[in-house]
Amino acid sequence: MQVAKKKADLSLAPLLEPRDALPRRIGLVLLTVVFIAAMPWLGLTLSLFLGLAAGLYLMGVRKRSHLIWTSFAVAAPVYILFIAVLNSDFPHGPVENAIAAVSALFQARP
Amino acid sequence: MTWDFLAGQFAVQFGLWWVIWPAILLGIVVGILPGFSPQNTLIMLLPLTLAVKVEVALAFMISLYCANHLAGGIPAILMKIPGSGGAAATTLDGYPMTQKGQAQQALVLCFTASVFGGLITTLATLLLLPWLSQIGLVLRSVEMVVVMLFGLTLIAVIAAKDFLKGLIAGFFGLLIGVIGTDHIYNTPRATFGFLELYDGVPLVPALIGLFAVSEALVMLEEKMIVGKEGQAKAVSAQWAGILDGLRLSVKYWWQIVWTSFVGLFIGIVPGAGASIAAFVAYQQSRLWSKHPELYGTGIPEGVIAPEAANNGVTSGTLVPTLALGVPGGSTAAVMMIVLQYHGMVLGPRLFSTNPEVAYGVFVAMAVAYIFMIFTILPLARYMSRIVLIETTYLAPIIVLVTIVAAFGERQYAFDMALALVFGVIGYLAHKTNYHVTAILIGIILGPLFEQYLVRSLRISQGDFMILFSSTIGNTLWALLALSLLLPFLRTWRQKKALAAAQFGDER
Repeated sequence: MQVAKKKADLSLAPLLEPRDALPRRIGLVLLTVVFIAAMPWLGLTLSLFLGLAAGLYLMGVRKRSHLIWTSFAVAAPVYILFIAVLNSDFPHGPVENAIAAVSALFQARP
Repeated sequence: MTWDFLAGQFAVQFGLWWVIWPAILLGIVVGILPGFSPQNTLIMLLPLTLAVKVEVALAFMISLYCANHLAGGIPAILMKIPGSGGAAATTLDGYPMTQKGQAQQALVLCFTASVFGGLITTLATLLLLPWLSQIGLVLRSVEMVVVMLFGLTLIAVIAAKDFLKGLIAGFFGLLIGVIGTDHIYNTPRATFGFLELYDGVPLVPALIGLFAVSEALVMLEEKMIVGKEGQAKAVSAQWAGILDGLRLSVKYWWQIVWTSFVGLFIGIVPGAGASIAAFVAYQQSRLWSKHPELYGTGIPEGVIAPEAANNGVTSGTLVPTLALGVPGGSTAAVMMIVLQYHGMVLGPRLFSTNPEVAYGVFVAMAVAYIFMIFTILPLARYMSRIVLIETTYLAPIIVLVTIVAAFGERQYAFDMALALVFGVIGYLAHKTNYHVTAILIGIILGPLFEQYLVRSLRISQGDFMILFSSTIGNTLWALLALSLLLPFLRTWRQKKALAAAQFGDER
């Protein structure tokens, strides 16, 4: 009824506004899909590091040091909390396996 | 239980500061992240809690549990992302306060309401334990149907601005809540063939998607989360802001007390948890307020009510666990496992065989709350500066980290994808002005409401009159009717008073 009275409309325009943010928004959703799909292979830490770096790049961050250090600053505590402290069942990848191998080496020494 | 015994227990618990402090810090970190609930964390740390002495294990678990409940409100206030279901109601007024540049005050209110709400209910439980344990027996499925309805009426309250859209959002949430296996006949409904949905839609991915992911997708339109004025206030955040928050907490002390008891009573009922307590407390607080129209615009009462209630739940859930041997919630169930491993037989006998454990639990809780206020209060000043981070950094961090957290509850990769789906739903809701909290209330309370209703009807063999068969239930029905009528009565009286005043002027 409100549509008939022109008080409301059924257009999808508000979903897309503002247009300049649209590529970033869709990009972020697609990136998350890739992130979820890649996690079983790359493991939690590496996929989060790469995903964040890609996400920040997508948002417009171009400074290489910012990209690397911000991603590291998030991925490292996530590794420490979820894998080192809580030992939860997140997918393990090259980083987790490498750290486990190194720590096993140290533990094996008398 | 003598005073000497209690004093001795307090001394023992204060001596365990070396366990309580790290547990509080871990609880806060885990609590801020949506997805990592206290029961998950405690399950993962079982090797630790099973290895140490029972008093130490208890102090650790209880401190982590309480800190977790408190910390859920922090992201809810700062970024509109509740750390747990119990903090979802905190976003309603907490986030608007942040947008007004009062993040520090909101955080302090959240901390004081949580700590004092938790402390008051813990002390009350210590003194009234034998009587409180009866509540779990009195509130059966029939009465719980009405309690759930109390929570569901909040949808109508939230929907006040756009009634139709609010109701559509609420019913959409209820529909999502229907997904999963039927409670009585075990028939899968609307699971789309996904085994992962047989237990129903998991709350954590829904919460993360609807609040965190959708908020991040909207957030990237602007450079910062708060406006210029809010930024200026965050930059110049002083200790005075904390003092102001404390002043507000003292001003609304009565609000803290009574909403925490709402949490306590709801917490005692096995199965009902912090989210329902927070929603009911918010709804009741708005109902009895002198200015209900201001709720949702960022007022202190709107932060205090849900926070005090969800911490009131902490002692409530332990009442049936210790007194009856029936866990009041999933975290209490994990604690029960640890206690039983250490040879404690839970139930009424525990109070005579191991009073130091039975009462010690509540003393540990009180001590944890005391430690917590000193740990967290000074942090409010620094936490409130998070709003100064640009959204170019915040948005991807929020999306990816919360998606990772969605994995945490059940450890299924499916839940991460589900959180993303809910994120898109939440984004669409945001953009079309449907209230995501109304959807969430439907998702949380729908299955609980259905469960209690179907169970009551099963007992009565399909006779609806069972819903009006108990005195307590009928009293609750009357209160529900009153709470629905009160707003109308109030507007009618205001109109009458206004008309009378105008008539007086004309004369």
